[in-house]
Amino acid sequence: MDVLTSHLNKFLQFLVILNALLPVGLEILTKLEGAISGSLIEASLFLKLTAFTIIQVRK
Amino acid sequence: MRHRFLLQRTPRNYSVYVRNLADISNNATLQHFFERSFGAEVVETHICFSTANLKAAVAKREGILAQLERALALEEKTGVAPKHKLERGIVPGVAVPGFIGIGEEVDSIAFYAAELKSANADVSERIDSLLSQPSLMQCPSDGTEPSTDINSDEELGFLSFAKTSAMSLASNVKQNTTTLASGATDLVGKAAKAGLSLVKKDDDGQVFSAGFVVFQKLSAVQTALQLNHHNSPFKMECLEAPEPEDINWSNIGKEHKELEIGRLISLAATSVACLLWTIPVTFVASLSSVDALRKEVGVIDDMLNALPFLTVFFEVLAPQVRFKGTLNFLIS
Repeated sequence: MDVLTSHLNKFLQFLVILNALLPVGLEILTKLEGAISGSLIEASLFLKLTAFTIIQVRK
Repeated sequence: MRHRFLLQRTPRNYSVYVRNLADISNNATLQHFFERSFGAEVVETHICFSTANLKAAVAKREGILAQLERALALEEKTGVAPKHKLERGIVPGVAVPGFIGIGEEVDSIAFYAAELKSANADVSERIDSLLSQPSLMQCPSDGTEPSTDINSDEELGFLSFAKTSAMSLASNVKQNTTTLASGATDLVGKAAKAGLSLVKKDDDGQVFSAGFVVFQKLSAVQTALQLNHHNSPFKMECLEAPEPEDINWSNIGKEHKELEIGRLISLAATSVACLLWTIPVTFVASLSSVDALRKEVGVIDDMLNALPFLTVFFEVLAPQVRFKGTLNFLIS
């Protein structure tokens, strides 16, 4: 078990970092859409994050 | 609920944001364009312009103010006027960042007070300079000006009127500097604080192809939002205005083509990221089943071949592998 989890460790680190960077990256992409309202940007970001979560869970 | 929200007397409910302005580059022309459809219901217009240098000046002033307040607080606490050493560069009279505290010692309060006075004058001068530009002048809303078609020859006459108005207002600005500067500080200061980063440092006052129109009635706002204001597609596009503090200034003034490309890039990049994301997530998720564990880890496969009764044990254990791995990571 420990051997297995030790192999998983680095991979999970990578995954956790990716998950932490996801909202930041998506926010940059969302701002490209040109919305002038901060609320609209947050709404669009929330939609993207929701879509991401649903797609990942379904898989 | 929405109707109650829209009935509130907030700036966003009485304003619209107009983008892709059709060859309009000053407040007066923008106001008269909307007055053709809405008459006296148009209260004022605000064309958007860059204030990068002003933003930097305001930030510098805020830094000096913070230092002065700190020095005053220190004096109040200790009873002794604080002092600090001036920066001195290699070249006399030119400060070099990093060379701090090697010059002559000065009284902090007096020094920062003088610096603040200088910064105030700088900010006021920049605001005056911006507001004295003819394109940024407000059009007097006394209703005496003739209705102007921006595509007709009358535009020339109107532009000369706007120029005359600008000149007279500029002289008023000089006479009433303090009043106008304090009033303008709210508007331009908010814009500066919100962070205009689209333009270069030397581009202060550059007019964007966007603006805000303020109406007197809610019905006029709703009408403006639903009308086609120009015969060219996407020109004079009206959108709901956000609250002033909610405006994302970096997106102000983007043209239609730029917006479309941005949307396309955003959609494509999001889709690609979502697809790439599934690779690591699917791998971790696959470790939750015994079959996947047997495929991924040869030792477990050999063990279960030799001892098949352990399969039940691993069926219970498999989902916990992920949990244990996560736990190990969090602990480490």
